[in-house]
Amino acid sequence: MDRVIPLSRSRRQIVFAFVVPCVVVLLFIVVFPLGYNLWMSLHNWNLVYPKQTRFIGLQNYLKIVTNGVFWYSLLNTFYYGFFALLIEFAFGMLIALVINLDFPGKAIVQTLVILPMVATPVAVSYVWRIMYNPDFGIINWVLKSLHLPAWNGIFAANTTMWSLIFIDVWQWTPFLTMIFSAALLSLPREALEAADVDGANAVQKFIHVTFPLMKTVVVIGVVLRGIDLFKTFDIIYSLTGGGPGRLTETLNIHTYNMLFTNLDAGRAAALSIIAVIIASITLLQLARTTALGGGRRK
Amino acid sequence: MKKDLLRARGRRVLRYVLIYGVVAVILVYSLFPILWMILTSFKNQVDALSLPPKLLFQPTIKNYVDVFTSIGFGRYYVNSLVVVILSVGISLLVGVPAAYALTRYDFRGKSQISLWILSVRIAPPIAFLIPFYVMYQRLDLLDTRLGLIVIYVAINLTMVIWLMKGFFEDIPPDIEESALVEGCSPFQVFWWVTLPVAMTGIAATAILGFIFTWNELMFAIVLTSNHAKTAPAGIYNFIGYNDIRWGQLTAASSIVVVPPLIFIITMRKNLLRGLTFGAVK
Repeated sequence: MDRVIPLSRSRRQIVFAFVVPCVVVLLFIVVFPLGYNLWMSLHNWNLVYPKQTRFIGLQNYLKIVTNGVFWYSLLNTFYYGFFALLIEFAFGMLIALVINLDFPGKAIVQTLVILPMVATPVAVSYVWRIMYNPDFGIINWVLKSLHLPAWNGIFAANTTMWSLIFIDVWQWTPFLTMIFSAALLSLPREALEAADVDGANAVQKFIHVTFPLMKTVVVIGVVLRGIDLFKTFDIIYSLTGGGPGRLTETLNIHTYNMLFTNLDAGRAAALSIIAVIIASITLLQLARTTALGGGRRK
Repeated sequence: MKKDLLRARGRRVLRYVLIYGVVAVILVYSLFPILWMILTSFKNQVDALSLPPKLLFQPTIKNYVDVFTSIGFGRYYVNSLVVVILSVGISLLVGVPAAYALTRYDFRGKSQISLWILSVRIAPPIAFLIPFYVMYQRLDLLDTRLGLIVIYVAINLTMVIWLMKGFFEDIPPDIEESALVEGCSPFQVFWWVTLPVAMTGIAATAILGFIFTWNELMFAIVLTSNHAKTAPAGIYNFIGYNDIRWGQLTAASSIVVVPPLIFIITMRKNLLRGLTFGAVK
């Protein structure tokens, strides 16, 4: 905060000119829509008959929490999010440790491993769909050649959820790899050298020196990834739309289906408000227990 | 002595062999789906479906020709470019000065603005999709480029402010102060002193905005249906109920995926901070 310049009169004018357009735009496209969404959530609001809306107070919310489908979608959300995050964390850490060793060609490798995360998710989803295909997909062909049991991916009910998780892991591990790599780069050399002097082996060094020093950044990365996992839409929508049945219907997809299948805009709005609340509470809680709240100030 | 040297060299070679072995596995895992997509896009339908998978085949560009001629994918691609470039441009125009003011000056309502920006980062996009859909229905903005540009400005603007604040914080205010002492107005300082220094950051922010909105799917499929449809949403056209045109599907996907990949390959270092949402400097 020490870099703030005190405000004189001519500066006040420039603040006005710089900030007001932005505030107006944000009011129109961020604050107003969210408020409108809240307003909708208090109404009986059918998408096809928007003129027959009726104020019903908190009934949409009541309908939601008394309906098992909502809780099931929440369970799916956390199942998907938890396992994806767990594997992404492990892979991200392992890959970061490997690509930050000293070897020629390191820079190219560091670039190539993050490509999945900028590849358009719809496109990625369809490539995986092709690879998962039980009849002519490459994955099953490889498994068959190795005499391993077949994996039907999104084409069999019992493997659908995990096939989606694998795609998420493939696409988003690079996000954590990048963050962990940066944390590794910023480690103080002395600490690692001291560990070498003490004769620690690689694993001991990682557990007792490297990882504790990386902790803050690791937490920030995991929180950011967690928020995004909660919002996952593209992969699930493109491949299953929440099916078969409701097996892969996360809260996001449930909300989407409520809007465009059930056409119940009021209840969909209420669902999305609940999602906002869950996300905010989780983040606030995490911000309080970690250094994230003051992350930018140093 | 010599023996030790040899042994040390042997150990180093072994170390490299191990490292490159693991790196190779990581690279195959990371790149295979993308390469497979591009490879399939050059196959005809028979080769695409043949087992064992054909690595050697007669490549064809017919899929790409089909994609651009038969189904209007070219128009979707142009839509994507127009919508993404305009929304990023507007966001920079409005967001960069605001981020500068937020970094350098203290004023009332500052924390509220930060809160709004954070809310966009946290809230699931569907919380915005619902009100926008209903409003657009009334305003007749469904399936228009304008409608999509407005929502993409919402996404980009918050990102621009968030990232540019970080870049401005890194610029020491000393040079600005000396320019002020020499009689420049605050605006002149911003325009002639700060902006040139922040150019790399602005470029990185613009490219990140491009990548994220280019890849955006949910708003695109809901708010557009034909006229204003974007390229990612257009990929769906190649999926029939029971018949998928694999070659065309992968060709269309490849064309969509390539621009973001090129940006990353050419300027990863500059994009690092944005890709990690400010977690990495």
